[in-house]
Amino acid sequence: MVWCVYRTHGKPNYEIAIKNGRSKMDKTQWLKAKDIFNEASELETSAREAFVIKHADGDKVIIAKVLSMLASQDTDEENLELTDIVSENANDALSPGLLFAEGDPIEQFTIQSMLGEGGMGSVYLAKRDQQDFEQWVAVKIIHKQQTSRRSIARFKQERQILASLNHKHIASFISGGETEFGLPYIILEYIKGESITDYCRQQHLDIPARLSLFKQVLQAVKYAHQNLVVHRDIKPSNVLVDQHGEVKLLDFGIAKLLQNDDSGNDTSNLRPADLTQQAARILTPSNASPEQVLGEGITTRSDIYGLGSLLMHMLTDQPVFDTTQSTSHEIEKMILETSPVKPSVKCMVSDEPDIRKRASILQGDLDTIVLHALQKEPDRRYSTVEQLEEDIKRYEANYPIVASPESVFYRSKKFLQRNTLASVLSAGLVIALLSFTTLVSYQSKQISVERDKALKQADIATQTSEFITNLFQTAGVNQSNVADVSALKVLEQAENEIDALNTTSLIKAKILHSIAVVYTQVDELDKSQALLSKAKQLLTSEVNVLDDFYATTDFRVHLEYADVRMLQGNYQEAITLMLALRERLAKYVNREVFEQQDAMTLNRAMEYALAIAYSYEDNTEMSATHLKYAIDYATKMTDEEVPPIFYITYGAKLRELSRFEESKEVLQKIIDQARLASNEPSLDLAYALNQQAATLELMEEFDLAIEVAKEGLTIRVGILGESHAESIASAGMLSNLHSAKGDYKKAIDVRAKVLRAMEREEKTAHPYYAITQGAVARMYKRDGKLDIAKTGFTKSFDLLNAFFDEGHPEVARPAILLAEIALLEHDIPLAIKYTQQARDILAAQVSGDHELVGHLQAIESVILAAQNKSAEARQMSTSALDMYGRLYGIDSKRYSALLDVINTTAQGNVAPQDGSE
Amino acid sequence: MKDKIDSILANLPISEQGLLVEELHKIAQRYMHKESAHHTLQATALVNEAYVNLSGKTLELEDKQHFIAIAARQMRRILVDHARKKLSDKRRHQSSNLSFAELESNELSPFALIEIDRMLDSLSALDERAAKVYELRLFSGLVNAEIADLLDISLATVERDAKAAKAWIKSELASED
Repeated sequence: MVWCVYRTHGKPNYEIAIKNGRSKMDKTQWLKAKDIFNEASELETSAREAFVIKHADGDKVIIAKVLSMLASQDTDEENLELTDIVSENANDALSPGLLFAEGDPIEQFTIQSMLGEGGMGSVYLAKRDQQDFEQWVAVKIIHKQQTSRRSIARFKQERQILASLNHKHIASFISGGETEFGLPYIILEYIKGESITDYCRQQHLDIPARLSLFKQVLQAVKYAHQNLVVHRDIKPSNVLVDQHGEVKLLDFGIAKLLQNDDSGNDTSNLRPADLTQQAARILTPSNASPEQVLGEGITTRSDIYGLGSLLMHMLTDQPVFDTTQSTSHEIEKMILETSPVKPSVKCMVSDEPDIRKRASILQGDLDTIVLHALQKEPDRRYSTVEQLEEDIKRYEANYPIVASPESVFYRSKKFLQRNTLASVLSAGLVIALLSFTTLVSYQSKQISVERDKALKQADIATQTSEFITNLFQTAGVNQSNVADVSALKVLEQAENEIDALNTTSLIKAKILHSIAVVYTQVDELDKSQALLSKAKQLLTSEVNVLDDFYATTDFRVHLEYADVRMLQGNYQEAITLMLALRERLAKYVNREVFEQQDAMTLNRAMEYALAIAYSYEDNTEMSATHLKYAIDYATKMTDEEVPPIFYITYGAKLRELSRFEESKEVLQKIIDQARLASNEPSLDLAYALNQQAATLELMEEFDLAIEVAKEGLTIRVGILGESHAESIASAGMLSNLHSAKGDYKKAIDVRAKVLRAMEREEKTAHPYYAITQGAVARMYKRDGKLDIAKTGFTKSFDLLNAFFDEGHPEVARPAILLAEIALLEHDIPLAIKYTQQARDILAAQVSGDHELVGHLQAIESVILAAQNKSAEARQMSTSALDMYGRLYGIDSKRYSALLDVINTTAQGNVAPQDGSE
Repeated sequence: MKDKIDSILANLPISEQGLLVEELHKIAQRYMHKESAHHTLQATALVNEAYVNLSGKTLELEDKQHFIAIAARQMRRILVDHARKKLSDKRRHQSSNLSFAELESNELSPFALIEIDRMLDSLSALDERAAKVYELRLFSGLVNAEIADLLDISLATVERDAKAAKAWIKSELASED
């Protein structure tokens, strides 16, 4: 705004004055400026500029200064609160240092010593003593002085990122929480090891061994990117090799989530960029990428740079740039301007004979690979970790690498140069989205088989990648608006352009499938269905080529199509489609199109899909049968474990079939297996425990069930926090078990804790909060504390009503229970009011048999009886009980509970002979 | 910039200067234990409390306001010295140990504080009164009326000085290259 005025006045020297901001004023000028500023700041914003110009008597310095003062007052009030800066420094300077002392307990661990201090926090070593083993962990806790909201948010983000990453080459997340002082901490697997570069040196590893270690790093980073996490700080000290020679990637402290977040809140950016940049100049780390030095957007390609820099160090035993004698400014200049020396040359000039010998090995492809990853411009580097990995594998297998200038990749690089915008971020993000990995890993597997085919696949990879990159550009994505452009927009673009793509129908079908999978995941089922129909058509035109790539694509497309139909609610159709596909798969398998392991994988996917479809159709028996098949296939696969979810779902189905003993056995097996697999509790284990608690509840083994449910709850709270949906579900289970035992106090305590946590985290607008309110009220009601119960139900009703503006059956529940209480208190008119509300809600939301409809009818029957309409009352109560009979069986607890409701509410309201049987 | 407060401070016996610093640290530590982590320590509160603890007992000073002016200057020094030390430590340990995490979270604040300190000095060259007013706003617990009383100027002047000083520093910080 300020700038425009001066451009129109044609006096660009004001701009220069503003830019050079540092005032060259004397005292007189300043006093005048101060007066004008104070006067102007009282005016409407629009009137200020004119006022300043008028009163400054043409003094450009004064005009520039006052305008920039006014602008700074308006713009970044929150960003640059000077008092906050003073406070933060006071915290830092004056607070006591250490947070933990040896022997302090944290969760089940005991602090042993301090491991070190980083920017955000300190790391302590802690251990847990068990009878037969000791577990060592690293506890990372935020610095006490880093307790501004900004820092806490950042720390919690790291915790969230870590909890979401589960990979054998990433130090695993064990738990997290807050200390009694409210300081957040993270408990991580403790890696006893040394940095990857030290390890290579000390073990005198040869180049192939170093490459093989480096590929483990690639696995970890690739996995992080697939989960839309950029590490941003890959360097030797963050990559350790443990005692088993396994690589572990550490420190996601500054990792960034590349999520499609509409809110666009980037906590890293609460400070003015220029200030960050000034600080960056003073403190440039030698491993920073050029875009980090420039303060530009960080993308997955920044990690490629980090990987290139790591590989250089691993191959040559030296960092990219020798910065030991350099000032920050010099380091910065090197990072931005100096071309790195080829690894082979670095070795050649080394003082150590052993290193000099490496030069001839590195010369050529490895030189090219490292320098390609270290390109200054992000869009000239490998666009994905997969590509880097691919080139290393190609080098190992003696195939021409993709990075070499005359390759197809060169074309796409040219293409990227023509289209400047988004290439920086594009491929990494999109490829993660579109599970492009399947193509590339398929390709790498083929390389060892036959060369021609591999080249064909490479072509597929390049074409797909170019296509996707192009999409991002046409969708107008650039580095600064990553967060704003929804992936859906990109996908829409993809749809529009696929026809024009000059490639085979098979590849088109594959791309369509990838896009459809994303649509399915974001619940855009109609779009997904349309694309899959198109893919199915394309595949029919290619039917003559029967290789495993075709067959796999064909199978995946059809399976996804059936899945989508299922999710759209057409269960019967989905099952029919799946059964047909199952036969088709059998034919492929008979013709030996797939390798054996692949056939198993596809069969397993097929059976699991059928199990889920049957489950949707409420055919528990068939669902259990197919789950069993899926488990059988999975058991036969040698290189993979049976996914725990298979057993857990199977156990749950067996319970639904009232095969309690078998259910208990299956679930116990997976629980034992999960405990055996890892000392650290996992979410799978928590899920299995919760299912086991449900089975035990029905077996009326309440005490054991409570133990099991408690453990499940502890795990979920530890990993997900108290107010996560899964933790709430666990708490609900535990609370219900206490309640089933008649221990209402404990039952209420468990739920009340959940409510407090949700209040603390300001999640009271979430329907779970309302539902939990209702659940607590129900227990008060059972405990005979009707007044407290009434308040709770009313609150729950209001909250649910407010949340579901289009209505929801659950809204009726508190109304029904309020009617029930009204009857217990003999207030018939009030009971009628509530039943009417409940009836209206349910009429709009459900048809046919439903738990709440039956409950409502039971209450209505009592009201009718109280109004002396005994025939209608009897009819109504029969209808309610019949419904429960159909839903749960007449021997069920729910059936007898409903009978109880009718009998107890009838007391005092109707003459005993009118009460129902 | 030498001014009256600096000279009072310089004339204060070393032992009493030490007392003041020690007291500030003690209070700070108590605050940190007492308060939840989400509470940000206020330098201003410290200065006020130091006065309550020390006045009339060990320090012989004219009045509360003088004491506070001195304590605020002392606080500014403590914090700036700490920030300088912190940055230079970091620069010494540079190389691979430093990551952007430290840059973005830990270093920005000390860096900014040193800048603010420098801006207060530059402002003082142009307008000693405004610089002092704003120093008191940042580093002491005095409200505008008390500052007016202390410096013997009108409340309106304090308000205008503080507002202009703040805007000036912010504009200088933002436009720096």
